Amino acid sequence: MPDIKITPLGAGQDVGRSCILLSMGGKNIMLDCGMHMGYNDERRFPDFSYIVPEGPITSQIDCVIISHFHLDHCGALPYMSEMIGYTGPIYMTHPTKAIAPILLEDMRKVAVERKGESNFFTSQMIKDCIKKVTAVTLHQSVMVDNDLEIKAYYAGHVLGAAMFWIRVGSQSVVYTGDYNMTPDRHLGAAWIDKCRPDLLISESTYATTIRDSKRCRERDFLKKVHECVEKGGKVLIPVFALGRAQELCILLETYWERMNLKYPVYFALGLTEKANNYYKMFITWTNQKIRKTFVQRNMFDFKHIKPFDKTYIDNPGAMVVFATPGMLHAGLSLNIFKKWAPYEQNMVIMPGFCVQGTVGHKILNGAKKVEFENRQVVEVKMAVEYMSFSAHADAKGIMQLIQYCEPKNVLLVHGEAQKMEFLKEKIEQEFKINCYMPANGETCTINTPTKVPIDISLRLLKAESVRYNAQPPDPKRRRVIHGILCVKDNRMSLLDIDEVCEEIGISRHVIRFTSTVRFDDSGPAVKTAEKLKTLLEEKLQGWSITISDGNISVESVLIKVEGEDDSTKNIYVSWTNQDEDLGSYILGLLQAMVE
Amino acid sequence: MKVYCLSSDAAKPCFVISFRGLMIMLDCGLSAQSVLSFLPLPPVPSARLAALPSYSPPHINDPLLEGELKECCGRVFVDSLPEFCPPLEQVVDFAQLDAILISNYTCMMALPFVTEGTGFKGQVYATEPTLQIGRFYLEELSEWLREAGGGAGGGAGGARRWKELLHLLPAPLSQAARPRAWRRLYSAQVLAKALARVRVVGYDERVELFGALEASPVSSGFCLGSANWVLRSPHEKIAYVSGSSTLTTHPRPINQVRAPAHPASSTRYVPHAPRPIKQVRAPRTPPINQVRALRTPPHQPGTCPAHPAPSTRYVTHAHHAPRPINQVRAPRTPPHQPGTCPAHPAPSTRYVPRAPRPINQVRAPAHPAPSTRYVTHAHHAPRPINQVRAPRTPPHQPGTCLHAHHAPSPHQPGTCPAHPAPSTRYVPRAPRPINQVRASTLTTHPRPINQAALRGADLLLLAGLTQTPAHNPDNMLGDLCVHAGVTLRGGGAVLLPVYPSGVLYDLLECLSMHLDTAGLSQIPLYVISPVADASLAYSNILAEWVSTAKQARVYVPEEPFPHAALARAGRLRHAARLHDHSFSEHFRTPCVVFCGHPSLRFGAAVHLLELWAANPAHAVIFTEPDFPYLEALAPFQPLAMKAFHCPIDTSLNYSQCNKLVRELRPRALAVPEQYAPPRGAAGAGGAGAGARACVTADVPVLALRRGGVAAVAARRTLARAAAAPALLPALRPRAPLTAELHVRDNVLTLLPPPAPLQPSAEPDYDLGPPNVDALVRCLAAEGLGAARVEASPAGAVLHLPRHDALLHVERAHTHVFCEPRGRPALRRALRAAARRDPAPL
Ligand SMILES: [Zn+2]
Repeated sequence: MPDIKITPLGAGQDVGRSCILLSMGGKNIMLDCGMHMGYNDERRFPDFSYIVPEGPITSQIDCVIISHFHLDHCGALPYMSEMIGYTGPIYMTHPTKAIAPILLEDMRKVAVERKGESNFFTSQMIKDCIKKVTAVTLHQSVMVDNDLEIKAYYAGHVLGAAMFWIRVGSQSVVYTGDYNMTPDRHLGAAWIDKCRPDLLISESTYATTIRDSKRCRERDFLKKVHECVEKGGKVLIPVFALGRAQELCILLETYWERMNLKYPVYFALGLTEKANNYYKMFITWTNQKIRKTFVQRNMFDFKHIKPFDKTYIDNPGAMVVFATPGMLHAGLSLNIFKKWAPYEQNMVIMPGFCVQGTVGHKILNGAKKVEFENRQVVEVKMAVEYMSFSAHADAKGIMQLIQYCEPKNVLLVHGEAQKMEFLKEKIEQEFKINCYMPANGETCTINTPTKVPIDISLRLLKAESVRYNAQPPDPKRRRVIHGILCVKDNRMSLLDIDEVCEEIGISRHVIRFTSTVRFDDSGPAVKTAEKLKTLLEEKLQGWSITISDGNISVESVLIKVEGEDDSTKNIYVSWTNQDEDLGSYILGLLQAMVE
Repeated sequence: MKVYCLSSDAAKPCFVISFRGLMIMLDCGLSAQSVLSFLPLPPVPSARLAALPSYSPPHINDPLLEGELKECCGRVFVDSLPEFCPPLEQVVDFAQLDAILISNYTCMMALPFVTEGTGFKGQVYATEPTLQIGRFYLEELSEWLREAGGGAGGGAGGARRWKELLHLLPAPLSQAARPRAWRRLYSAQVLAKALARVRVVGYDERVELFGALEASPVSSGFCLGSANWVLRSPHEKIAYVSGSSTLTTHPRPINQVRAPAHPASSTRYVPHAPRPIKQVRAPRTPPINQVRALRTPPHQPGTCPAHPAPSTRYVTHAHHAPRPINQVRAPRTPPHQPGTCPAHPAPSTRYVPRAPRPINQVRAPAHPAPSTRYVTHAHHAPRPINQVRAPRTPPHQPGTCLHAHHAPSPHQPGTCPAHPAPSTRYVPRAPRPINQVRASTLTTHPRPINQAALRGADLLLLAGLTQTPAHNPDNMLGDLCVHAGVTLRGGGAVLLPVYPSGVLYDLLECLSMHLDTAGLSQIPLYVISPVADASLAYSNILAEWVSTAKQARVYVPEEPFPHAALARAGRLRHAARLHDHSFSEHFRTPCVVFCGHPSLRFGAAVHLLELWAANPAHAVIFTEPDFPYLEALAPFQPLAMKAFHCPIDTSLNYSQCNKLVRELRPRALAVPEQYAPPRGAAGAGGAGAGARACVTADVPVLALRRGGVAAVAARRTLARAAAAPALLPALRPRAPLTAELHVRDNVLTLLPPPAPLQPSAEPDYDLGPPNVDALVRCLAAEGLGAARVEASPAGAVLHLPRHDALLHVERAHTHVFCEPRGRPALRRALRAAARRDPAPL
């Protein structure tokens, strides 16, 4: 089955939620199982009925792989495992397994307790779901079953984010999840080896962006924050609990320290300490610098950043507040936004991408008024800044990754159609490979010519190598091997004829040639034979020549001397068809001796 | 395939295998036994060591030998910088090595000797914890040896002459193994260069070695990051098992099922690190004395009518029960003074084999004095021998200060203003009543074992079995806790000479728990090592390498090991050096000090031992299995301080190992000669009474000795190639195939044959006899004329009169008698006949 089929249930020409179905070699794999933050109805979860309209889903999916803990990549997992009833294997890295349940619980609270939604998974379901997860480590080769192998690579997008290489038989696919090709303040850059997959499924969030340098972005961010607080304004930075938040905290902390600033900085999240604990314990997943210095100094113990209390919202004066969630779609960040938005000295900095339907998305698109469900209308007079701190690969990074792993095809997901189109063209031009960008629900079939493993008999290889090396060196000479193809237990092997006969239990038909040379030599036949042996040993150095009962043998060549003591001897030379070269050579030798 | 053995120390192995054209070194162990021949190097000058008398052999006056040897209590030591025994150099050219695979951090100390200055160009592979903790071990070692300039007794540090005069020296020095091959430790720079070569790999990662092999480290359950290596080609498999632990072979304890929530509060030995080698769980046999353990309520010995003579009773049990006796012997009652308890009158002279015995007399280990044997009562803490003899040791306060010149003022804990009352801040998580703790039975790792990755190898190479097969780690840990408790209660300090990682983490956890339950939670724990801070910090970030139970804590998130919490609570302090001001300020006794080096030849342990040796209230407890403790103590004699031997070596013992080998079903087994059955032993497992323990298997066992090489027959008959997509249409089963062979980096690819292919290049596949009619036609076509055909009993005879040729065509063979010049045409005809009407396969 040389085809690979991909059907995005999410992330097909959009950024809302990642859920991609991959079929190859008779295996079905689900890549990520995210939820869409912009919806409050069933559209928020992937359409699982696509996989199987009715009946159990487990038999249709061989495994689920979660790339990282962002909810647009794992948010629907408890729904799938606890409410749809998927019971098969689920894989993610250790940090993802540790952190995902916290974010899921956070979201659940917002959805159920604040919005009063029903038909949502419960806390217990999150716990039960995570219990079913198999945690994997980087580069560990995990055999899901006899044919399906997966392996995680560092993706550098958030703590524990991984790209996955997936192999069935001789076909392989790499799924990147979200990744980042430039190291940042707490994470390293994504890395993959030259694994030459048949298909690379890459995110393309920043397909057309070539981001300005990291330093510039940071300086820009700090300048904006500083200017705002200097004028007595309040800065709101909506973040997710883990990820960018830690990087920005490190950034502000060091800046505050260096500039000796006194404006209060708050991190509005009970989870801060816990979150930072995860970073401490999974420090092996952060970048080199943090790992090297962690014994002396813990990067995540902040001096200037204090916990936030809700009552601070109405405090006068400047302050900087980090609040969750990151897209201003619910929770505390949204509450703060509602209070601060109408004042123009304030500022909101959106450090990450916002999906359609969220308040974040609206204000980034210039909305000056935002209407809420309860008909509350908030005027947006505060400055709205967007800083691309989301650690996604930009166009250059995506091209770099393609260069690293040398895929035979590329498929783009997790991006906007127009931008994908641009990148697709670029990839096809530069790498001369096919690039695909299916929409949600659209199946993309990729034909992959596959190599078939064949075992070659060492005997054949040796014989070939002897033949090849016997010829004068010629770099252009092709090496050619002949054999008989056998199939056993679904495995092919190329054997030589004797091995085949042995394998199938028949004895081979032997063709033997015998010629006679007459030789005038007095004395017993045995003496003559000795003479011949000496001659052969001289001419055939390195061959094993044996003599017994007056019969000389070299490989399959037999030489027999007959005749009375004092008369002409008959020398019979006999050999099998395979040893024609040797046999005729020996015969020639004897003929020359006689003459 | 060949296996070279370069180390004589089976616990510090070093092998090289040549396989598929590659030279691969497996482990790189550094044998440190040699350091025992040297005088200790104290971190600060020691007057005692400096004053030891020089030694020279009788009737020898060799000025070159001057100052090289010193004598202490009848033993002769070399006064010089200690030397180590690196792997053998001459057998394998290190420049030819393609790769070095490290199994765990105890087996990589010789790395710089192999990779630096030898022309080594290969790649070194190890897991991340192996690299990091190995670095700690190596850095600690090189730091200590760097600090010490020369020998302790004033020797210059380069003693060499004694090696020439070895035969004249007294034992055991005269038996030193190949001292001329001993080398000084490498410098820190060389060490750093060697470590920089290591490429970090994860469990189950497939590392491709030059296209010829795939190497995978798989969890071995022995320590953090420890791995067995599996080398695989498509048709062969070699498993290298070094330093493995399968603790699940024990019966499953009952209270483990009942109270799994408090695994840490007992002193059972639960190895922290190791992800267990997965293995089938042993059948759940209830421990034999489980009933007894349950029905025995805490009671004062001798006061319970049901147990009138607990002493004999428990001792008897100890002899019969398969279960170790530490849980029986465990102090349900506070230890009491010897001889004062009516229930346990006087120590008898019966010999209980397991009773740990302190040694404070110079005594050759080979000649144990039977008179000093004693029974340890089950309820009693084992007593050191000198206390048995002189039970009324006058009460005293131990020296409480590190610096002898500080003139320490003895004081009770809490009574001294400088050393305020012990902090009570530390609240153990789940302290269980002591008797409940003691009811716990032998523990094992609850997770089932799966050895799948090692199974069915063509060759199983085995090293790193336990060095103390007679000592069960569980029992030893129990003993250790008891000894420590008794010593501390008596006001003494406890010294544990340990490595800076490994079992240390468990000891910290278990001992602190034990002290809590024993009412000794005010006792401070100290860890002194140049790498203490890094080692303790590092252990808590290796979540992905610890056991499931420890891993579960990370998800909370809590540190997998409690020592960070102990440090925050002020209970545990660590320092790089004893004399760091911030540390010595807080130092007080009684206390427990963990420090290196286990050989007692360098490191802080040397100083503490010098300081405490004369005081019988203190105790040194040996847990590391690498050095014979009597040898380690020899230069500190005479010793009044108590010494206990509680080796904790979680590696496989022989019976676990044999079980493992049986389950792994290798085709051949190779082991260091120490493990192999004695020569001449009849058959597998033919061990009579008194035979030494050995590895037995019902497959060929190769015994490897240092400098030796063993050849292992290759079974391989096939090589893996890949057929290019374009060749797929040509792939027909049971049919001849001609293809172009493309070889690059050991990878074989088959492509469609180059066109045009010369017909003669195709070989003959004459599987059956030629069809006679077809043959006649072909002979004619070759211009050989008409053949006369005669039927024969076995087939047919064809006669070509013109060429005087005869062809006997039979079922199994065709025999052609002909003149040499007629043969080419005959062959063509035969081939054509075979082609035209090929015999079916
Ligand atoms: Zn993401």
